[in-house]
Amino acid sequence: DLDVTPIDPNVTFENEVFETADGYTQVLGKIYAGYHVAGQKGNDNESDVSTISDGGMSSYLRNYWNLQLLPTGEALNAWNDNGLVPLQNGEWSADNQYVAGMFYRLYYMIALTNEFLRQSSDAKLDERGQGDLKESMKQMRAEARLVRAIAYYHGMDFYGKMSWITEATTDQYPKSIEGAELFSNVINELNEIEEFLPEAGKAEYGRMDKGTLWMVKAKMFLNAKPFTGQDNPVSGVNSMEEVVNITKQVNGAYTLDPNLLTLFSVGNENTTGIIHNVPLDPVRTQGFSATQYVISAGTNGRFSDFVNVSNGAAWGGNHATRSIYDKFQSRPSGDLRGKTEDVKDDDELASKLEFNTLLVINSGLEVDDPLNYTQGLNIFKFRNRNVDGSKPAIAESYFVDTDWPLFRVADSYLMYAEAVLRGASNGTKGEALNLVNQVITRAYGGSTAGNIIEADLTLDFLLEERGREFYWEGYRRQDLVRFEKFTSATYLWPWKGGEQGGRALDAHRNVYPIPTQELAANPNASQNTGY
Amino acid sequence: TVVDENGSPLPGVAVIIKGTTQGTTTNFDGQYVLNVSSSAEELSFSYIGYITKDVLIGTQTVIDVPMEVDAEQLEEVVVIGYGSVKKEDATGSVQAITAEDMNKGAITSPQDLMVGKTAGIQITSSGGAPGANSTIRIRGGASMSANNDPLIVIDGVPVASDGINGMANPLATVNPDDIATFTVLKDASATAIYGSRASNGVIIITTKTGNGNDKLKVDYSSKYSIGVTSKRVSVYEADEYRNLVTTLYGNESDAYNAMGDANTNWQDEIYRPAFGMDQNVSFSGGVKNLPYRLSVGYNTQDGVLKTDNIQRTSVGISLTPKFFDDHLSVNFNAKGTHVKNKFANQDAIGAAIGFDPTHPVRSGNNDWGGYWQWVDESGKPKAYTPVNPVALLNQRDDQSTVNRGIVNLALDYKFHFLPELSANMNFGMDAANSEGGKYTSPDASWVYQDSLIRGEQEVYNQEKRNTVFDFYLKYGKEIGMHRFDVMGGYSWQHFHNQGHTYKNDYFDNRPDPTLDQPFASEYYLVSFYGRANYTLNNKYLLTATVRQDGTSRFSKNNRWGLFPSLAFAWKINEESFLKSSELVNELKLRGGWGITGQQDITGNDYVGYGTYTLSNGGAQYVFGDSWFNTYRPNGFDPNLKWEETVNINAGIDFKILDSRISGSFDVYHRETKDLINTVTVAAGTNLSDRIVSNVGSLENTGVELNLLTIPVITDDFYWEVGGNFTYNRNQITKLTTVDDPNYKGLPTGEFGSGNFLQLQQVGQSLNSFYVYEQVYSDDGHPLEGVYVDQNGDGIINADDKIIYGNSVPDFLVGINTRVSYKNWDFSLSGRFQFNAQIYNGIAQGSENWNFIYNPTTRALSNKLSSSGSTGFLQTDEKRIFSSHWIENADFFRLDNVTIGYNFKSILGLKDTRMRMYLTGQNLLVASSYGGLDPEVFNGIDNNIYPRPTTILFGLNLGF
Repeated sequence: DLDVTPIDPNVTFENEVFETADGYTQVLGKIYAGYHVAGQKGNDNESDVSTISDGGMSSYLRNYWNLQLLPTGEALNAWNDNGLVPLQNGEWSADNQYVAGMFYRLYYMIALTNEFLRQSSDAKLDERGQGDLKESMKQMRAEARLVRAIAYYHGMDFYGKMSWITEATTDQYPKSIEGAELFSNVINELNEIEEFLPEAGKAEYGRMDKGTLWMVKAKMFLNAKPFTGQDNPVSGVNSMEEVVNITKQVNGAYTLDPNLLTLFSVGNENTTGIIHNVPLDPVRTQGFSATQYVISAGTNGRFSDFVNVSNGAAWGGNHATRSIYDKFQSRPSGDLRGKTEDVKDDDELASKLEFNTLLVINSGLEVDDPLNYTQGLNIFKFRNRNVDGSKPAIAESYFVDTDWPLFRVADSYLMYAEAVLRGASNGTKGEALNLVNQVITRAYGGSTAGNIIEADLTLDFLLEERGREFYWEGYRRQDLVRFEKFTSATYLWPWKGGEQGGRALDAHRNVYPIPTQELAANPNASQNTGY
Repeated sequence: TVVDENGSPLPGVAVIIKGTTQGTTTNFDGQYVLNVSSSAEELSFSYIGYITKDVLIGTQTVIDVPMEVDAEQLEEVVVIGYGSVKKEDATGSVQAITAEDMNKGAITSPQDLMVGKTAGIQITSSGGAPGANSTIRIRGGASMSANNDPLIVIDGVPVASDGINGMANPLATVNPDDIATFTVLKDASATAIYGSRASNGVIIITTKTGNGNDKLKVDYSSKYSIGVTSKRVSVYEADEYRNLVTTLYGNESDAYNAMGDANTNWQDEIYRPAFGMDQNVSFSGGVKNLPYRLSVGYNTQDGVLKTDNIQRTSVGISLTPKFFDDHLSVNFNAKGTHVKNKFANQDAIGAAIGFDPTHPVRSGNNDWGGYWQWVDESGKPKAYTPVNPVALLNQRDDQSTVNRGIVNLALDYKFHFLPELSANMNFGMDAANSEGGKYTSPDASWVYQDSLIRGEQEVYNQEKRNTVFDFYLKYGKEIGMHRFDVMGGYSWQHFHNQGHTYKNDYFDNRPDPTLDQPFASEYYLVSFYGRANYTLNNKYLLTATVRQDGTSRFSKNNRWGLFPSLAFAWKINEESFLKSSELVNELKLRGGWGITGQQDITGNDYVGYGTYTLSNGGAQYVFGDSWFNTYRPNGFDPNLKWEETVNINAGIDFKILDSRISGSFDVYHRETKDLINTVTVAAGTNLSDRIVSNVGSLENTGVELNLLTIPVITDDFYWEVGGNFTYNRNQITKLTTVDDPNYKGLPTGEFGSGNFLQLQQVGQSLNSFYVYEQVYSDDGHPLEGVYVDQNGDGIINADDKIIYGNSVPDFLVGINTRVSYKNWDFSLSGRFQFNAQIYNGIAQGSENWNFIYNPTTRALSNKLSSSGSTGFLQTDEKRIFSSHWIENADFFRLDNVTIGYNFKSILGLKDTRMRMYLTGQNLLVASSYGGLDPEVFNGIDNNIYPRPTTILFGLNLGF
């Protein structure tokens, strides 16, 4: 009687899961699903991470977005939630639950991958008599390792150091590695798996291929300096030249979608410009992260119909300072990315807002109170509508259908340009200018009115252009750190550091602290300097 | 002939020549024959539940004795695991609470009957809701995060400690009026026979049975009560609030314009006087050798929060016949309960504190059920605004129906050829089912989504079945001055649990299978156990028990656990130098050692196995164009095993001065090793960041004293004073496999999401608060965001957190007294708790001026009227962890005062009894705590349901 097997329809022992090939797919699917859905049930119930018991608060891309944007003025949150305000005031500490939520989600992805790799090893397949799966498992294992490498890349960006845990690790209290060692490990991992992934752009929907791998690698090399303090810890090649090599491959494999709005609307899984989409479906992925979070937290009841979500899904949280708006004012008019409407004191706003309006001045451009959603800019870059503004056919209106673009080819274009400006000798300034102008032309709806000349192409211009192209997509903190402007006093934005006029942050804030919980649980963990 | 209080013959009465061990027992007709030597002076008649009578023999040859019932004496025999023992022969720490001692009053749940009645046990209700769950801790709890509830055995059936969906408190399905005794087994020598489930003590509940060959006895009791909230959370009243908003924001502000002109006290709107009624009838007696008792009870209890109600109808049958010249005793018990719950929406409690007092309950129009709500220009509810508390109550219908049956059949057969040997077989079943639903009205503003999606429904059902089979053999033999009692047996128990929850975002029955969540699980426990008692010369007692338990919860290698115990007792009063003492009536020294275990991890029956959870339809993933459910491997510790507690106990039982003073004193030390614990693991080392594992050790050391004195006892006047004192201190002695000075401990005590207020740290008590020390201004106001830099490094970070008290009281004192004068009686009981801290979560949330007006939602909210004392405005993520919110939780609570009058008869009818009484419950709480009630189990106060002050009138009739 003591040998039991679960009688719950939803709980199974390991041996049954892996009886068929489907079981492996379902576990790999779980790894991918971790970007958006926080648990095994809709509404982020049965959450994977329990240190942060609220499923939504522990979800991957939501925390990623908050941590990348709230300290940069590109987004402000009005909820007054414990933990969010310190993020935008430059006062976060190791007690911050969002800092912890991100941390534990990254390690969750790592642990999950490790389990998949242990279960899908050749030895395990032989043991189960599934030798015929070995071939297909090569790609699946490489995909899992890519997700793990991305977790390390994100972890390196946020925390500076990570415990290096693989499927073979048995340490109860792993030690962290950082800098060159961590960097090399990630690059080596990417190099090892590349051959097993599908060609760029060839993966089926929902899965990653070489294109994604290249983007991760390019991002790593582009940020080698802030990540490791040295140029290229892996080989003698200049990192920027690595970036040029990689982005060339990407640029050759993908093309910009001519219609900007395609990227941010329902159906964006069909665009050519997105290298990897995190799939969202209003019925099948009922989580509170990724596009759902960005849309829901970015709208309130006044605009819920405009972005097409129900009243309850209009959370009225994220707005922005005028800095996004200002980035378009110094440029020729016609940039669709900066299309703004001022609906202050306007009861008829619904008719006034055109479907391609991305920025809205709701009650005034200035922010006197960061905790007032209506002040500053409200941002509607992402919407739960088709690209032409019509509503999708699906009835569900709480959960959105728009996928989350994790990597875009436009980023590769701008990375190429940046690498050239940072001294890569294997690229040309002419090609850099060409790529930047392609991005700008697309933003101007095909017009060259905004195009720049070679003299305009400076690092400062690129930082601003990245702000115009990628606002609210979760890039800003990393970019500012790389340009050494995240903490400095020379580059201020409204409410930087919680002051209306902006203030410098202490340099230690270029990375986040290791959460208190980990310091308590792992005696080999240590805090980052300054926290 | 010996007869009972009704004049019926009483069989089995011990008749002993006083001062000797010579004696006999009465036969079935209550008759006895005893040869007495001429030197014998007195005969002593004793029988369980009756006052022992000493009768001078003189020259009488026939001595007829009427025995009198004495509830006091009921505790002379105590039930222990798989049997019973004379109290004076018990070697363990065992405390019985009989019906007479139990708390009186409006009691819905049995555990409330024993609050404050004995040392070493702490019972904390989760609040004042009718049928609310209670947490019971015996000797402080042996575990950290495994289940710390004691094992509860009802009439031989060990029951599961958790409730069922729709009824949090599993004991509330038992009619308190049917309960005859609670027996609390505290130390290992008493509990080890229950092995793996005994670490946190055992409470054995026996229910009332019929009496011998009695003629029909009918007892009727009836109670009517009314309860009110005695204290409210102090928030700004409407006019104060208007002044505050004007001062903070100015009289031309949006905030000012958002105010209304009503004066609403929201707490008055949600609370009410609560009525309760309890009716019980029992029929007992014996028909042709068949003692029986049949009881029927009905209880209805409102909550002080409007719309709260519980109704329980219960039936109990007990048949205790004997066959074959008493060789076969049959004990059949069946209890059935039908409970209907109406749950109030407790969100209203917090909402009533926070809702703007300048707006009315009703808006004057029909939108949103007619309740005033924060709506936008188009009249739609504004998301994330406070919700009208009255609407929360009235627009949610939350009901459940729970049925439970506990049936037990025990057969005890004394072998004809060897009467010293008996076999006991016990079949028991505890089955419960529940179904319920929460329906939120389609016009409820707080679930409004759009014109299509409104209202909410959640429907659930659950079935639990717990089956037990026990078989044991018992052998007892007396040879000269040696007496042996040996028993050994086997036990099998199966727990099965299944159910279904179904949630839908719509009020109507629109199918939405993605939210259908069925569940099922089961586990088995298989055990072998034995006990040997040896008594030498009725002075020296030795008990040894052993139990081997196997659980299906753990993997094969860690499944079995062995739990031995050893105890001795020395009845000093039987020694010649005390035997004739007038001063000392009883004096017994006890000592015991034993190991008990724990395997109960609430909510996971497969905790020792690697399991995979399939996702539901709302959490799928897509490859290409095919969506599929994902499989999640769940975190676990493959080496998970039994938690073990080593118990050492020493005690003295005494009765002195003609039994005027009696009591017991115990000292104990318990060390739990391999604590089953939900621990945060080093990030990435397991499939979950928190897993259940065996980590660390914990010690509990304590002293318990129970004392009963009878200052006055005359024919007319009886006065007793009882008290109990508990000291328990626990200390964590180990948390990691290797000692590491950098290891801070395990965070616990979650408040909100991911905020852990407490820490398990080596050298500290369980659940110690771990916070930043608040800095105050010279005039005593807390300075916002300023904390003591404990290590002086100029940075306020986690290294500056300090241990700041804990929620577990070191001292508990219970006092009670009972006086009867002629037909009047009076009783009083109360409790003290000392050296405990409480976190005032209500103040933390609303003792500030932050967001009185929320500019985003353009809505107002109310705050505590003490908010001026902090003046906190901005948010600060450390504020949650400020020592400012930790307060002293010492209190005295006057639980119960009863005054009663006993009539000799009902209107002069023969053989009838009548009693009327008035009881006041929870009359007074003396405490310095700033919140509503300092008695909160985990010490984190987060909107407690107020415990009502209740006045009750009761009537008992017997004929």
